[in-house]
Amino acid sequence: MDYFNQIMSMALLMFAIYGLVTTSGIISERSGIVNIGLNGNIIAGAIGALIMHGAFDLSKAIAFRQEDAIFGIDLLSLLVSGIFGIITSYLFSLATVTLKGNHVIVGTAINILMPVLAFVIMYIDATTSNSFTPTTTPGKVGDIRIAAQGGFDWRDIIYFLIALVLIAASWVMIRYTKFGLRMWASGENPHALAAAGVSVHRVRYQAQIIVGFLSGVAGAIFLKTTNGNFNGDVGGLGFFALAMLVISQWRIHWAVPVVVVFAVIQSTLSVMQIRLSSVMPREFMDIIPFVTPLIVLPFFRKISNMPKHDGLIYDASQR
Amino acid sequence: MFKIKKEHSSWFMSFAYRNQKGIATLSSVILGLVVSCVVLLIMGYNPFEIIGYLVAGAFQVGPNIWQTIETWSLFVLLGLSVAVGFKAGLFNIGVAGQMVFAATMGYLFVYSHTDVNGNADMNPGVMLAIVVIIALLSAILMGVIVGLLKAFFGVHEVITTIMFNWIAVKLAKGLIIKGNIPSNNSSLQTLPTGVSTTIDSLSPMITWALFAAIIVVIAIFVLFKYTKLGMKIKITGNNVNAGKYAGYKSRSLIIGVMVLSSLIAGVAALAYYFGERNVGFNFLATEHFSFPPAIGFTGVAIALIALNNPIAIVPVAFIFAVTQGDASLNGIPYGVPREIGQLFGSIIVYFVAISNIFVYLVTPQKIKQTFKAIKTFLKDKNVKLEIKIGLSIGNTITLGYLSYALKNWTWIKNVSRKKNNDEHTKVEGGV
Repeated sequence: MDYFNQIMSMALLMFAIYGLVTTSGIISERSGIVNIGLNGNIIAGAIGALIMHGAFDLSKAIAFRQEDAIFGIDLLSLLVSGIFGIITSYLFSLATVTLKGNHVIVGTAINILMPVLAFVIMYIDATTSNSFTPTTTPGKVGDIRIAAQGGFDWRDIIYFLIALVLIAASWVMIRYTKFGLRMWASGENPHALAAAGVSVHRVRYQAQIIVGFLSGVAGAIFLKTTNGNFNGDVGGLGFFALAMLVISQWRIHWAVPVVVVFAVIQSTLSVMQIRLSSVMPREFMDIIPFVTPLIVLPFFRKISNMPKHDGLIYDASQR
Repeated sequence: MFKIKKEHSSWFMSFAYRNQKGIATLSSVILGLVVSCVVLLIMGYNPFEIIGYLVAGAFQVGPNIWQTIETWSLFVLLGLSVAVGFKAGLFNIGVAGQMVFAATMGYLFVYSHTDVNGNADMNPGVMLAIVVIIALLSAILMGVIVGLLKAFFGVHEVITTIMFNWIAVKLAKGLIIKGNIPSNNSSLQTLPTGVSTTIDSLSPMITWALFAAIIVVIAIFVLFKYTKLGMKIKITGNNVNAGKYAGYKSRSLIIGVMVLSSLIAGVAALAYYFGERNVGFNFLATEHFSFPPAIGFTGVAIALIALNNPIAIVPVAFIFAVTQGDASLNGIPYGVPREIGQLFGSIIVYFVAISNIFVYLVTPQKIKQTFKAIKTFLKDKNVKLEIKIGLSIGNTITLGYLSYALKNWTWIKNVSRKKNNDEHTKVEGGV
């Protein structure tokens, strides 16, 4: 039963992270932009949460075990990291939409840039507070307190609910609002959208703002799962989300079950790894989530529902 | 019959019009350098100081300069590996994974043929040959799988190569740790002594990174410049439909290009992991090895900046070797993060990605006009004197003031200093 509780608590967080990132990927590709830089967005969100934690002096709250106060700051940090994600995605959309750069290349640049920035920011803070140890990077700002250490925690449900509400809201947005329709058109045929008198650039910028916010929030939640050992890397989360997005055929309502399956697999493996390590080393178990997309993707590619203008550069002069 | 009218007024203009893309890239690289210097200033470092550390470390006479040359040739190989993919329109981000996989397989072979004291049970020459073959074949295996998935199932190579990066890392960790440590929870810090001495005995023979780089550069240059195959690859990369209409077998071309790309990645892996100092293995064996090595991604940056030109890759790789090589990073004193070297590369790549815009911003005409303006401005006699005095006084004052001010009053340092003071007072009060 103890294991079950741990798996549940882990799976809730995993669902929140994967769900948010996959949703943001879907929104991005629906608006016609392949955002490989999602990984960078998530890292930016994590940096935001770290800085938020560093800004408040939490030592008293921790000394007196005022977990509610810490949790309140955690919730605030979701907002801050969302804003950090928006800043990063603005860098991305500036290069891809206005300056017409290649989406994949700009995304790669963001992916290389953000871990370095994260590391340098953490390093500066760590060296000035004289607590730097070269091997474990988190310095003072990296002092993340995990509320839930083993066992089930009601705070995980809050994160889960926040993620669920955000995902549902974006589903409603794509499905039933004017902006959602415009975004869809921007991914399928931006020239038609422009002919109808809507600025494609504007729609894409707005979509990227939503993308940045969602993936930034995912970065803040990701910090909860790292046990304070954030080293400027999120373990290819953004790329993994891209694979899940292909499996779910660019649709949010199909993405939810896919994410649930992967979250349960991942959390089961990570909780049971000590138990199963006599059977095989845990690194081999870690391979499973990476191999699964490779096996599944070829079958799903045949019925592809990819947006038609996905990954292409919109140029108004080509109409 | 007709004499073609000379289009451009000077050699410079004709050169500039022919190489517009190159000039745009160059200007974006310069802008990237400037911006990364500004970022460093904001963070509270003096950029000139840091560049000085890097250069001094890279060109220190002795082993350092040789290490820089090795890194340079390694970067040339990595850049070529990615550039070959780009020529066919394939984005091979999996160089890191291919390298790690090749190294792991080579390592396993060495491990299975050595005892604790480091005595190999075969002739080192034979062992070396087998290691080379195994490493190259295993690198190619990964490339072939990616190519097959792309050619027959249409799975995008970016996703598959990234997945393979992680698979290779996890596999390497599992295999190497499982091979050495029977108990499950201890982590390996260095290679077992026996194996590392064997690899060391192989190393002097394998220090041919430079040699391999020269050969591969020439081979790739010839392939794309003078052969039919290279032309086919280029056409398919530019436009798949054009390749189809011309009757090229695009599937086999895709697989072939992936094989070539991963083969070069395998050569790079040999240079990096089995090279003189086997730098790579020291990292591979540690606990922190839990993500694809960053060196695998520098190839992407190098190929992008060099516009996939095999000859241009050589100088670009040199810049990267100076800013990111181990020798130059060792020149950075304690207290400054070593990752700062990567900052240059990543910001430059961002600007190169948007270098399209510089084709319109930095036109040959504008360059000529600015040169002309500068020339006429300098020819004025009064201006000459003024410039001399002004430059010498003004520059020293402004630069000195700027560096001083930014060194002392950046917000980060302020904040952290405040924090520190608070802590000290707290501690004293408590005592």
